[in-house]
Amino acid sequence: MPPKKMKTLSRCLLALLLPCAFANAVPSSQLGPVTAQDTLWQLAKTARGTAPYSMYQTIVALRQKNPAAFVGQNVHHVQLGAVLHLPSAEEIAQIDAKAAEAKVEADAIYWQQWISAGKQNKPQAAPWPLADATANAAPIAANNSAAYVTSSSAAALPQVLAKVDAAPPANSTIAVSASEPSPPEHASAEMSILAEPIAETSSIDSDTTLSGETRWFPVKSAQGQSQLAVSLSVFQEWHWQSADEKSSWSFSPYVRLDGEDSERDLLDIRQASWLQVGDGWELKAGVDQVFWGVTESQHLVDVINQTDLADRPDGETKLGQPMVQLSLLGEWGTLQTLVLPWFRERTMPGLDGRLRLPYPINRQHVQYESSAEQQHLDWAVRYAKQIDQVDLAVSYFDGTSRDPLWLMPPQQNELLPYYQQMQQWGLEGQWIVDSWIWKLEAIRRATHNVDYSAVTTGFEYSSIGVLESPVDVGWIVEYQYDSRGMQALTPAQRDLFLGARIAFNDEAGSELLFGLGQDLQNGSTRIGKLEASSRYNNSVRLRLDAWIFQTDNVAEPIWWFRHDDYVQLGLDYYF
Amino acid sequence: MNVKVSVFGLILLGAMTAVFPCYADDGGKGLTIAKERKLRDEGWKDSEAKTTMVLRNSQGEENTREIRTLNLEVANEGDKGLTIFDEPKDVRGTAFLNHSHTGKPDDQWLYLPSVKRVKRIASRNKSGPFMGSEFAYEDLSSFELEKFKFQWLKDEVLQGVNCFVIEQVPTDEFSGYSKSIAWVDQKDYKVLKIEFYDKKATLLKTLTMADYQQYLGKYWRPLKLAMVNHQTGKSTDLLIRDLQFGKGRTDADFDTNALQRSR
Repeated sequence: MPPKKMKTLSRCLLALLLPCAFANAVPSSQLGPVTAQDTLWQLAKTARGTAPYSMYQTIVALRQKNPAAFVGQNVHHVQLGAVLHLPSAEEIAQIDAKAAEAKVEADAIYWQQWISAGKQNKPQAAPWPLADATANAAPIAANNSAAYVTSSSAAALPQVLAKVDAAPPANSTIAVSASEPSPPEHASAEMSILAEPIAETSSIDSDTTLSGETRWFPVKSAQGQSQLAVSLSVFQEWHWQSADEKSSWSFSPYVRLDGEDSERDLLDIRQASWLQVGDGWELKAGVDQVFWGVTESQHLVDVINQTDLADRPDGETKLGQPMVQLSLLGEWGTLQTLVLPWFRERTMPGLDGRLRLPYPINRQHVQYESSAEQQHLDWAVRYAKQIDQVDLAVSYFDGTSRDPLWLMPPQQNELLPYYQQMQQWGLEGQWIVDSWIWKLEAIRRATHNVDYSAVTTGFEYSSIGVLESPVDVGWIVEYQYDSRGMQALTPAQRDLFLGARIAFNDEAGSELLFGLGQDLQNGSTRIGKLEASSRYNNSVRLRLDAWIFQTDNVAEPIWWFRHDDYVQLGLDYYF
Repeated sequence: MNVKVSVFGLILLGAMTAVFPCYADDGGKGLTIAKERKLRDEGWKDSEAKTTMVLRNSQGEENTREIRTLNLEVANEGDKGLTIFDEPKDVRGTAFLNHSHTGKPDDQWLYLPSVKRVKRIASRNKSGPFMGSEFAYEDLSSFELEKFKFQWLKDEVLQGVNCFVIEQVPTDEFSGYSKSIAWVDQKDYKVLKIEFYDKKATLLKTLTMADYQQYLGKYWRPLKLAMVNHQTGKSTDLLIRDLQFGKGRTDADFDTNALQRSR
C-alpha cells in the first residue's frame, strides 16, 4: 500500500477508534496493564491529557519514566501487560520537542526494520538524549527505503504502521490481533502509532457567499436598455488541507445570473487547484488566481488572470486561470514560474446591458493572432524580493494578451474581439517610510503593431485616529501614464487618481472608499467611484456603490459610458 | 496630524514632569524587574491559539469575533505573528502577518482573499484599534525591553498577590500612550494589570489578565484578557483557548507566501 493511502486510511480508522478509547480512559497516575488493543498514540494521548505538549514529547517522557516497559529502548515497542507510570507535566516539559520528534521517527524506522527482518533479537533504538536531533535522524532515514527518506515532519509519524507484516489494518481493530503467536520472552505489544498527526486533523471547509445586487441608472440609455438591473450570484468555496499543512486542495465555483443582460450570466471555476508545499518550494496545479502589483488605481503588471469586466467596470473581478505554478522561496527572494495552457476570453456586457460598446460583440468569431488560439501555451516568471523597507519585483509574460482589440469587419455593424500575442516586462516597487508607502508599477509591452510603456506611481498615506476619533483614513494619490496617449485603449493615459479609504473602526466594520480619476489633458474627463459597506450582522454585509463617467470628448474610451452613471445596492450573505 | 499631536503630548508630559518632580530615581530597579520578566518568558519557541473577542459597547451590547493566532519567538528581535480571521464571516479568510521589531517599525501585511492579494501596510502608527476592539495593535505586540523606559514605583498587594508596580514610558513617539503602569506579580513575574494613559496623561484603559495557566512547565499565559476603556465605557474581552506550544514552526510559516496560504 502506498504511504499516502495508508495515511488516509489510518486517519479514518483513528476517527472510529478514538471515541471508544476515550470512553474507557480513567485519569490516574498509572496506565495499563497494556493490552494488545492499546496503541502508543492512545497511551500517550491519555498521558498528555489536555497539556500543551507535543505528542512526541509525551511519548519520549513516557519511555523515560518507564524504561523497563519498552523493549530495546524503542518507543514503539511496549511490553504487553506493562503498567505505565505517567510522567508529570514538568517531566514532559523537559523533553526537547524537536529531539523527541527525531527520536520517535528514528525509532519507528528501526522498529520497522526489525519487523521486516522477521523480528530477530531486539529492535534497535535511536540514542537518547540525542546530541543533535537532526544529525542523528538524517543518516538513519538515508539508509531506509524511499517511503521514509523524507520523514522529517509530523506527517511521517502516521505513515509508520504497526502491522506492516500482518494483515492490512482494514479490519475493525488496528492494534495487534490477540491470536498472533508471540514468544513468551517477547511478550510485546506492537504499538500502533497509526494515527492522529501532531497538527490538527485534516478536514474540508465549506464557505458560501450569496450576493444580490440592484443597479439603478438615473439616465436613460440611447439604445433602450433598462434603467434597473438585478443580479444574483453564488460563490461556493471548498477547501481541504492535509493535517501536516503540506497539501491542500481548493474548489470554488461561481455562478451569476443577471435579470437583463444574458452576457452577464456566468458560470466560472474561480479555483480548482491542488497545492503542495515543500521546504523552499510550492507547486500548484489547476485553476487559480494570481495577483501581481502594488498600486490601487489600476493594475498594469497584473496579467495572469482574465478580467470579468461584465461584473464591475473597474476590472477588479478576475476569472479563474488554468495554470501550473512552481515557486522557489528563499532568503534570496521568491521566484515564481507559471505555465498557462488555456486562454480565457474577457467577459463584456451584452446588448441588453449598460456600460457597453455601441456595437454588438460577436463572441462566435473571436480572433486570435496565434493559430493555436485559446490553446496557446503562455508562460510567465516573476522574481520578488523584500529588502528591509523596500519591496521589488520584476516579471515577464509571453503569450496571449488579456486585453482585446476590437475589429469591425466591413459592412457589418458588429465588433470582433481580437487577442494579440504580447511580451511584457513588469516592474513593481514600493518603499515604506513611516506612514507613507511610495508605489511604482511600470510595464513595457510589445505586440506586433505597437510597443508601449505605461506607469502608475504615487503614494498611500495612512492617518490613524483622525481628529482624535477611532477613524483611520488612507489617502491615495497616483499618477497614471501611458506612452500611447490618446491611442491607448484605457482611460488612464495622463491621469491623476485621488482616493481616500476611510475605516470607521466601529463594531459594524464600516468602510468608505472614494476615488476620482481626473484626466489631466482633457479637463472635462473624469471617472468617480464610491464604495461604502457596513456589516448588518455576523453573516450579512450591505454595500452601496456609485460610479460616474464624464467626458465631452468622443475620442475618450469612456465616451460610450457617459450616460451610464449608476448606483448599486448589494447584500452579501455568508454561510 | 499625528506628529503634531504626539509632539504636543511630549511637551505636555515634559511640562508636567517639570511641575511635579514625582519619582525619585529607582536605581535601575524597574529595568531589572522588566529584564527578569523578559528572561522568564524566553525559550517558548512557538505557540498557537484560538481566541474569541467579545466587544461590548457602553450599553452592554455584545459583538463577537473569532480569530486564530500563530506566534513565533524570535531571539533578540520582536516576535512574528500570524492572525487568521474566522468571524465575522464577511472578513473570513483575511489574514494579518506581523514581524515586530525593536528600534524600527514592524513589517505588516494583510491578505485579502477576495482578490488574492497580499498588501503591505504602513505600520509606523500602531495606536489604531484592532478589529474595532478596545485593543490597539500595540497592545497585542510582543513585550520587548527596547520599547519602554521602566521605572519601579512601589510594591503593592493586588488581589492578595504581592506585586511590583512598574511605570512604562514608550520609547516610540508614535505610540498612542504617554505611559502605562503595570502590576507584575513578584513570584512568577506574571502581569496582572496594566493601566494605559493617553497622550494627555489621562487614564484611558485598564487591562486585567486572569486565568493564568503554566505551559511547558515554565511559561505563564493568561487565558482571559479584559480591556476596559474608561473614556468611552466600551470594553473588549479576549478569551483564549486551545493554546498549544511546540509545533515546531519556523520562519517559513511566517512569511508572505505562508500568509497567502493561510486558511
